[in-house]
Amino acid sequence: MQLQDKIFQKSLSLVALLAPLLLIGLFVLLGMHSAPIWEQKGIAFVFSSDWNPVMESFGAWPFIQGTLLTALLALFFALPFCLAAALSINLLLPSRVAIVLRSLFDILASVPSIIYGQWALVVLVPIIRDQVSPFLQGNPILGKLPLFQGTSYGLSAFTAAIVLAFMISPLITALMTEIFKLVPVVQRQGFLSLGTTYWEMIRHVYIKPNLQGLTAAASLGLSRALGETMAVAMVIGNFPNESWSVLEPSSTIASVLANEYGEVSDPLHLSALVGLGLILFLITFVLNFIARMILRLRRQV
Amino acid sequence: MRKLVNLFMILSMITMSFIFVIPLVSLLWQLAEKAAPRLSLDLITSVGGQLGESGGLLQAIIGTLVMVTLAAVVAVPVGILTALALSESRSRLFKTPVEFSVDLLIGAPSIIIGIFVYFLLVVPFRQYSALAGSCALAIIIFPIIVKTSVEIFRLFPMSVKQAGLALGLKRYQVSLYVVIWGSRKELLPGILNSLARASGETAPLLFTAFGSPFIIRGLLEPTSAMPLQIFHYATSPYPEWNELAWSGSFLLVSFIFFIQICSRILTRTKQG
Repeated sequence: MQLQDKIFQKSLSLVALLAPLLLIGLFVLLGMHSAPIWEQKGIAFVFSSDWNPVMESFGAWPFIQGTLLTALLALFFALPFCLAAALSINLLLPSRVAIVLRSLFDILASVPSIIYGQWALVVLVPIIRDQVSPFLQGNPILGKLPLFQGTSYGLSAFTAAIVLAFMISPLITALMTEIFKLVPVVQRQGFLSLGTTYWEMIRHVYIKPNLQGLTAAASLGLSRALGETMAVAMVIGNFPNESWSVLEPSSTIASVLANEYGEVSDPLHLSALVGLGLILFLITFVLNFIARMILRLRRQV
Repeated sequence: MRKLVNLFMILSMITMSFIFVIPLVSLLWQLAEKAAPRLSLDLITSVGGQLGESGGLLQAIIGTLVMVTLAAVVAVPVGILTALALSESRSRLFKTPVEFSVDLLIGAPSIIIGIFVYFLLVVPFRQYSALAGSCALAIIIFPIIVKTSVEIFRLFPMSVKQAGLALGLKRYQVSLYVVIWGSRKELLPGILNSLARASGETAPLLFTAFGSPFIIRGLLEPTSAMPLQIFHYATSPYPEWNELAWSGSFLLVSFIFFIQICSRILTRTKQG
């Protein structure tokens, strides 16, 4: 190999090292600047639930709870629809209609978070406040659940979860479509020729053997929902809520960061916020890591 | 009974997959209804008004254009070179961690990138700046560009590379002039998509570019951006500003859709 080629190769590798460096840098900077809060409160920061910047008391739990609750609820709403959409695109719809459906998802994916938020503020919030909440709370069984207590203003984890469900669906559907594409046609035909119905074939050929991959797709969607900021910050109400009610105003890590970060003057408050960011990053990091591992292993088999 | 279950499941799956039409139609309807009556040239030729007064969005449009361009200037070459390194290298020890970190960077919440850049560029300069904003945008689109470009380089025909080598080109010349230049048409849609993504990102700009009511004069000044301005106006208590936010959303969505359509057309002509 010639000298120029060697130089070129080396510099290419150097450029490519930027990605891992960025990732390490993210951890280092977040860790460094959240150090004061960890020194002061230790691991108790994660589990204590009083957040009052004026009184200098910082507990991350209400936000962690709000984040998990909102994101899981969003995933719960989105999953059945995404699964249905992925199956429809792959085998139930004629290819022309499937293309239309796919471009519909492309459009949904390209709408910015902030515009979803604005839409939800105007359209979803009144519906939740005036129709969905009275319905849920009036229901003799559901109304008793801790999830549906409290006064509803429309600004709630429930509203945020619905917007999030729409926002993460394109990603989940695309991943699931990719997974289903790998299923051999022969298997499908073999099953059908044994006299099973279409639905039984779908269950046994498409869903059961792919459960792992589908879980990976779902957890990538979940991690997207956990980190989503703007739309959530606009409709969740931004109140550090400790109850499990999804109809009351609540807040997530991302939403509290968006709301309080710009106005911080107290260094401990800042480090608490960065600490929250670190927690969020760690959660999404682990979810992504596991999901990518699963997808990668499957591709190699 | 089995037939009935089958019919029911299939029909419900098809109906369920079309439920996504509802939010999209409702969203586009809202945009059209709220923004259309107020669209005027003032919107793109004048700066925002006083508190609660209506005005234009010029400072936001300029801010977004400047930051997205700057982000692209940095992220596109770096992204493409990283992709090239990934597709040329055969060493697993090098490829796996790089690919993995690209995947994980894509999955990182954009607000975290904002915090990162805040400490990287805002704290040292003691000022929110357009520079910091575009750095955050660059970090967000860089892994996306890598991801789309790697797929393209992987599919690049070996025979063409060998033809280049046979003509006496050096390896690096083949990489630069044959592989990258030869797949420019395939690379473009991915780049355009990432630009569309960058122009809609709000969270990472909150504490990097910060927002400003004036047109920027330098890169080290805080600046407004379309999504920031929309957020500011939409969450304000003044009805004039709320309306202005809708007009802004309309402009932003039209811009993003325009880019998307361009990239679609490019992909299609390539296949046709």
